[in-house]
Amino acid sequence: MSERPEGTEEIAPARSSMEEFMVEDDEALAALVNLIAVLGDNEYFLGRRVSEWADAGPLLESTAACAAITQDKLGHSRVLYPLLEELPWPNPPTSLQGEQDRRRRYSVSFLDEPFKSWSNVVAALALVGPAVNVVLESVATSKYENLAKRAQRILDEERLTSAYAEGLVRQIAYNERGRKLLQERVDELFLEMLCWFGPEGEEGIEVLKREGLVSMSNEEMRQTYLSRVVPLLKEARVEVPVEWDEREQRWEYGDLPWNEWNQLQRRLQRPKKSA
Amino acid sequence: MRPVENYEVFTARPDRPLRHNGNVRAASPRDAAVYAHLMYDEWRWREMFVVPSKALVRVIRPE
Repeated sequence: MSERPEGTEEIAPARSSMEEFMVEDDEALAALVNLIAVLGDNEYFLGRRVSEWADAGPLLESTAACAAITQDKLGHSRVLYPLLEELPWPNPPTSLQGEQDRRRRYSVSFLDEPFKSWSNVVAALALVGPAVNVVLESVATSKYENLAKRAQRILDEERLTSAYAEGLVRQIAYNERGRKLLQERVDELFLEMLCWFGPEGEEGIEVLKREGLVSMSNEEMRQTYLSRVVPLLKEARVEVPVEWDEREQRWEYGDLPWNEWNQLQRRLQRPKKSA
Repeated sequence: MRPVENYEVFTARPDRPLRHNGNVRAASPRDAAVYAHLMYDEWRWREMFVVPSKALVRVIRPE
């Protein structure tokens, strides 16, 4: 049966009636599919890992807020994944409903295993969340309107999550024990997040920029990210291996471990922990 | 842990007057605003305020 209640077509057009989004350049299309999978998986696994701590925050209020943030993150992954099926690309990565649904993950390795401590939750929300948001900002004016609109909506919701994450950093770093735990987690995660934006001049991002699908180069995204996260970490007395170069007006971060970097899955290859 | 204090939460629905809705504990007014927004999300509020409980001046006490 193809009948729809009269008048609904305008509000919710049938899938078949949508015009397929076309990208002439195959490399750009491949990079776009990869970018969406990376955004979706990081939102999904961030939501999933945080949800496992949604009953164990230090305050009833931070716990209840944590549960709300979890819903948002999982919701974001669910609005991003359908775009993978919409694009004219054969065999795109499947949407995740459960974490074992697909063997290949496009999320940072820090999110692979359930978190062992609340400090992981704080580090993930303070470092992974803002990175995802920078990329969403880069696609918020994309020529691919369906992605741009969803990115704008997610970013609107993320204002609250960002404020929440900042509060968590100040809260945990208030005493020396908490600050040390956060420092340990940041040490584990920070370089991976710097790599996450890709090596400067990476072809995939360059082609997306040329096609009007993203607005920032990967170095612009990394610099934007550092400007967001470093001041808060410094305020919390958490050390990170970056320095602001006043003369060049940019963050300097030294050599990154590109030999351990998986460009497709946007993650550091970490040795599997033995059981 | 960072010291927390109580904040009273006031909300108003469209075409309804402002009313006291509950409270949250938080370490800063900004955190209180975030917690209130996330916890008291049962309506699309027209307005929401958080006020430090200690700032309220009690004029009439219950009998």
